[in-house]
Amino acid sequence: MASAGSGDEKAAAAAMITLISSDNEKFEVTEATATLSQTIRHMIEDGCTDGGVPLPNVTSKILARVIEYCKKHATAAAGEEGSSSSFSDAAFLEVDRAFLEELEEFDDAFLEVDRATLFDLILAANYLDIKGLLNLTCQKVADSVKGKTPEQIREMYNIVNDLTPEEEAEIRRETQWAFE
Amino acid sequence: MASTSTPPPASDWAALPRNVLWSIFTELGHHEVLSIAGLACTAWRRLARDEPDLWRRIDLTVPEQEEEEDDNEQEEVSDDEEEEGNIFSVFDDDDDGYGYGYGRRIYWQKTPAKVADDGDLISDNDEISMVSSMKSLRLTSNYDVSSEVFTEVIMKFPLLEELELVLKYDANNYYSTSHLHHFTVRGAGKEQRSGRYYPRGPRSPKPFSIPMMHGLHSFELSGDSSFTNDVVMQIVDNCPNLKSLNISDVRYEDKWELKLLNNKCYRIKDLKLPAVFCEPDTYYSSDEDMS
Repeated sequence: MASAGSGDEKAAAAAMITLISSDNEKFEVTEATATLSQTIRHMIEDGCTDGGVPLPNVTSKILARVIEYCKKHATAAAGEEGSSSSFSDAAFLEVDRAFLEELEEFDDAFLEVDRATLFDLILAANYLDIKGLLNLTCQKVADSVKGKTPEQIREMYNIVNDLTPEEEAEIRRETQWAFE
Repeated sequence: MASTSTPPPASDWAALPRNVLWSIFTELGHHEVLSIAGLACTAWRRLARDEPDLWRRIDLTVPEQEEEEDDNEQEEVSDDEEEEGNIFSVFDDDDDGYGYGYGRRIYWQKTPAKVADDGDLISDNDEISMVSSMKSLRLTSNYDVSSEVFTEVIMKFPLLEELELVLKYDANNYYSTSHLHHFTVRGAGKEQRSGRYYPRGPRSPKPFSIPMMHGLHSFELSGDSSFTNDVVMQIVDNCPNLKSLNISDVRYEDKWELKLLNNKCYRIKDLKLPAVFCEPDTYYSSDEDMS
């Protein structure tokens, strides 16, 4: 609405949103952090965030982790934008690389969770529509599945084998070539 | 960090939302999806098989190390011996279905449960919706693909935009498809590996011909130099909207032919002509000791 002056930007950055987890815990986050979630971004755009955003699908434990992720990535994004004007190109690249490395380390550490947490993070990322987090967590699952047998996958992820022996035999016949 | 290792009865990985599982499968690649993840449970299986988006672009490139064990008897190339079983054995006359496979075979699923005599054909009752919506298919293999296979691919996937195939030498008469934009033809692996190849003779017949393809934007002939100038000329004639043509592996013995071609291709923006052309005699004689 208003013309984009630096004052407005600051105001926007400082605007706080309250997120409410399924177990009624309240989290205050900046709008910049919250809008990494497309779901929340849309809510903000629609002006229905007054009094807090209830997230009945996300527990406080998971929400805390998600916010941790969003904060980090929101700062990184803001840092990149801010630095472009105040550094020379070379220095900017340097800073950029440092940022990326740091972010990568953060992501790696972030993923050091048990499978139940990973599962909840995936669902939360999906529900909140946080693309980066969803990709990150899905990648983690894919990596863990690579090179495993179906049995190992079932064991890892507590998946019940509900294929009938006939079905399984049929699939094995189809994909026989892969095991030759 | 430290993980609390209580087994999670709550998290039901089999019931992941479709789009989440889709993201995971996309990361995995087609081979793993088919051979492993698709075997975990019914829900995963269903997605692995029936998600159209997953199969819209198929890349079943054979890993490098899977080499044929034969010693490249050059004559083998010229005769019409078909290595059935090694080839993608796919199609039958039925209409709907989609093929997938890896390296040696494509599996063809048909809507009606009609078991074919061919053991590689799979029949299924499941409703398969993607059928002909596949847009990209890459089948790189050390094995030849016969012209029927190609024809079938073209007919079964009318929306195909990219196609990369290993070509059998006697392949000819392809059907036209208006959506095909990119078409790569590679020579059979035997020849690729030998570095140089032994042609069937300097005047070997055209290995294949293509129909008018107005939609084709990009054509690449590679890995095989038995394609002749006639073939290239025909491609240029029949694909008036070609923007990119890569024939750097086609062998030209006559530099005038090449010049002529060059003139003919004035409208093609991205043109890769053969870099070197050798005198035929020196070329053949240096064959054997190259590896």
